Amino acid sequence: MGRLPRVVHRALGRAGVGRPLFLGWFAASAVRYDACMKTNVLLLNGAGPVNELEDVESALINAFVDRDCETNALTLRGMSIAPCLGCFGCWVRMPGVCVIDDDGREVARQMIRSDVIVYLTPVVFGGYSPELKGALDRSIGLISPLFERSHRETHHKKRYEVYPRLLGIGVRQGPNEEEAAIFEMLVRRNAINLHAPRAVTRVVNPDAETPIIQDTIDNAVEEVLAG
Amino acid sequence: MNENGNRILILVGSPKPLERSASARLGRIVGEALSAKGWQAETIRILDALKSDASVESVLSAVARSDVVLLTTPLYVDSIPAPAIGMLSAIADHRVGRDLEDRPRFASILNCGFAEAAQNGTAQRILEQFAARAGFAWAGGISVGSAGFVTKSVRDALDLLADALATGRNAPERAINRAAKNAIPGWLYRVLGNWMWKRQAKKNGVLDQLNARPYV
Repeated sequence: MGRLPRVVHRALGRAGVGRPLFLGWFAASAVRYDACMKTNVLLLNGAGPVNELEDVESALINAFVDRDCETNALTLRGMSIAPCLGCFGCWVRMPGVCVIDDDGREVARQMIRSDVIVYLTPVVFGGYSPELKGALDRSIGLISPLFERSHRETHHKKRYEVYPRLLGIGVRQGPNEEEAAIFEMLVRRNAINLHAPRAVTRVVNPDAETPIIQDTIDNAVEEVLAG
Repeated sequence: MNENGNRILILVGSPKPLERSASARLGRIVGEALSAKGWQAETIRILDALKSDASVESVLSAVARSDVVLLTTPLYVDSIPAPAIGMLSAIADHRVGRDLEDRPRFASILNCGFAEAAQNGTAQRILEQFAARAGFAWAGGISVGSAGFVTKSVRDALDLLADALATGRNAPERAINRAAKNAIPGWLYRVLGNWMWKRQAKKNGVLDQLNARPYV
């Protein structure tokens, strides 16, 4: 069997299924960076089996730490996050909590307790990696099932009073304007549905020189924290 | 055309069982229309296909022997569900860089739980990028709102899509427009939707917790 099917399985978090919920989690997936308590940043690292996001993740952490933010980075691939069942149990059976008892719940909990969420992902056809998307699919309990009219469309009402800002960082080798435009649109659409008061996006080339990557990330972090 | 006639592979992105899935129902209408024209239709639920290496391989084989691959899926968080991204990535990785003689056509049906079919737009653009990356000929996408409810307009659109796929054409503009027609006005969708959510919560004994904030 070739490499690809395993890639898919890993992307879905199957390798972690059955693992005790928090055992090894903080050791393997979470890195807590001490800083002052001003702004809580949750960085969701959606890297695949080959962690192609390390340099950009480091640049992000540097940027937030330099600005006195407390940054918690989760590498989603190392976590047990089963696919969403599409059952809407998080709306009408256990309102606000996913019915699947795995790390997906903890990611959602940390998302709503953050001031800024970073979606760090390889750009996959203009969208997110399965690793990141799997966690986001499991987070819809953060909003209400009830509808309202917003942005001239139907959307779901808030469940919580305050929602975090979004910073979407896509990593893609080589330029592709269409994929970059789709990525930006996707983050902005997510921001509407998650009631995020601000959304900032960048697509970064991982082959660029380190100072260029850091400069791009610094600029994006400055923008999402502004105001 | 294959030796054994034309074939369509219908990939269902919904995690729900096929018999309870709106996505599967939409795909089935197209499959049945093509079957009536002599096509062979095969349906695979993506979540089932991801259960083993062998089942993923079987999807890759099914793609290779198909003239048309149709993805029918719900909209999750403005895109397609995570397992569907995983499967499309596997298909693309399998095909990229190979000297493939076949160039199947790829079409999509997206449905969302909002009144407006246009909210599927970003996901349709993602699927078009997938088609280009994986060496498919993009045959267009149909977007349906109102939780994939099959109105007469939607059924007409699916019939038009089936006709187009059978004759080597892309999803016609008329089909896209028919599918996107609101089943009911947006305000009524919101009223009925809110009533339905409350009814389900009441049935589960959690109506008073519908707006709970468990994480603060």
